[in-house]
Amino acid sequence: MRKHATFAIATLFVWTLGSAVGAVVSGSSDASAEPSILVTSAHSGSFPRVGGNRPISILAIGSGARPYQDPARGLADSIHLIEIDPKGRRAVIVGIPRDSYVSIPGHGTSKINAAMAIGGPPLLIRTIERLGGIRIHYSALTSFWGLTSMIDQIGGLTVRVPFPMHDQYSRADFHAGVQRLRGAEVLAFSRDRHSLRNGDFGRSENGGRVFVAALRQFRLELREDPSVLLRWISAGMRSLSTDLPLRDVLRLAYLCSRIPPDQVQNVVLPGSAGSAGGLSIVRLGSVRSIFAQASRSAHVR
Amino acid sequence: MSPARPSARSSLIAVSIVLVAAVAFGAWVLRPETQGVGPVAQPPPPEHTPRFAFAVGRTGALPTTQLRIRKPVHYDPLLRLRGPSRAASRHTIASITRLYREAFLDPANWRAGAYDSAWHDLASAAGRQARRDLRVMTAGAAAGEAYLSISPRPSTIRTTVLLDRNGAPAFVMATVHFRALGRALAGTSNTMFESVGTFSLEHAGRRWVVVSYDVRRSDHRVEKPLPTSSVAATPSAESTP
Repeated sequence: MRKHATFAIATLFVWTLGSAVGAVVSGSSDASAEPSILVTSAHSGSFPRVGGNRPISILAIGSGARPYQDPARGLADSIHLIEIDPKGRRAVIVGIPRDSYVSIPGHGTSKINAAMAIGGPPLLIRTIERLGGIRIHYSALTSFWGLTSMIDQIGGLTVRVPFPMHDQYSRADFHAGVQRLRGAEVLAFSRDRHSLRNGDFGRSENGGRVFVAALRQFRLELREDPSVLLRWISAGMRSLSTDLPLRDVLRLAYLCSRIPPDQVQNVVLPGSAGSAGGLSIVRLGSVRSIFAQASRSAHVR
Repeated sequence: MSPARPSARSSLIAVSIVLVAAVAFGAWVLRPETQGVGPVAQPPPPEHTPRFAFAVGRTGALPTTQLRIRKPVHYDPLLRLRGPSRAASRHTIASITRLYREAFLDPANWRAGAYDSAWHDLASAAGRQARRDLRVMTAGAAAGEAYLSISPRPSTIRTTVLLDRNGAPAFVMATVHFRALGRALAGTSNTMFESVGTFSLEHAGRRWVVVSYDVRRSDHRVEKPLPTSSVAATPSAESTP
């Protein structure tokens, strides 16, 4: 009986030893062998750059040409300088009142909107470069019907209308608040100056609001469906004249997708209303420092 | 000194046999389920790359030609692919298929955790970034230690071609939803790889190369089927373009 008990204990001991040996031979335990490379909610990306990290300066011009006129030879109805800092992922929109009374190279002093009618976008660009002491890299020109088409092709634009606007001339008829506007309504919102307290300055500011609204919507839609990038580019390119190569337009769109709307400043050149030769004009204040800050760091203090 | 009795010698031999048998039996019965870590227990790995192709969804081309008519246009002008734009779309699908095949399905790559062949159709900057994003862009550097096999599951791709002002294809954007099942060597669950990505391609000489990408991964675990049920890892599609 004693002999049997000794045998059983010895067997049990050897069995335990055997299982330990088995574990060592087989390697690691269950827990540590679970796949440890599960990737959840990870994200990566690579975005091409436009001209490296240097700030990019684009002049956006809205021509007031009528359908039978060449947009590049019409009066500039809206003028915005957009400075983008790719590195800082921010931008500033500098609105230039169209009635600004400035020196036009080779053509004396006149309203800035006349520069394009005299010498096309190149003369308008030279006028602003001289006014601000800056260099403008690219320009984009659209017309009333171009803007309308552009907005309609992207399915309308959600804009925050800052105050009630009712103006029979521009056909603006909006209550205050966030609303989805069709192309013709965006045009009316951008053109109205009669229902604004600060006239031409307010109109220029509203033009900047349209750019910021477009950026906000672009980013939102892009998050839902990345292919909207090309749809927006297509809508823009069909409705604009620009010296931006298509390749840079794509890079610029990628860059814009990475700029939060709250990192975009919307400023208007300061000045005062006046008159010259029977015309109502805007006499600009000291604007060189604004242009300098904008072009250096895409930010105006 | 008297010689050992035959009966005692027999008992000693019997006890020795029982002890050796007990050691062997214990080692066999109580071994952990992590078979496959040791080279003897591991079934022979499939060395071929599973056949794979994306199911192609909506494709089309977008023009950039300036509008000649001077009145507002209200429609979305997605055009049918034809000629060069169709070829551009096909090249793109082939490039992205190759990328995912090399990054997830080729056993030679994921077993070694080396994916250099996956970046063949990426422009230099995108390729550099992809090498840094190995964890998101591929099955992972440690996939060889974790998986028995990786097989494709139904995956989709759609392409949009942007035409330049002369009507020639300038860019292609591919939107991809890729899925593959990684059968784990151990544990109770497998891994479903899920990769949703957007790739922009530009024409470079005779090729279309990826100049930018935006890829999101959201893998999840799926329970392993019971041992009695038969498991067949089926490729998602017929053939590889």
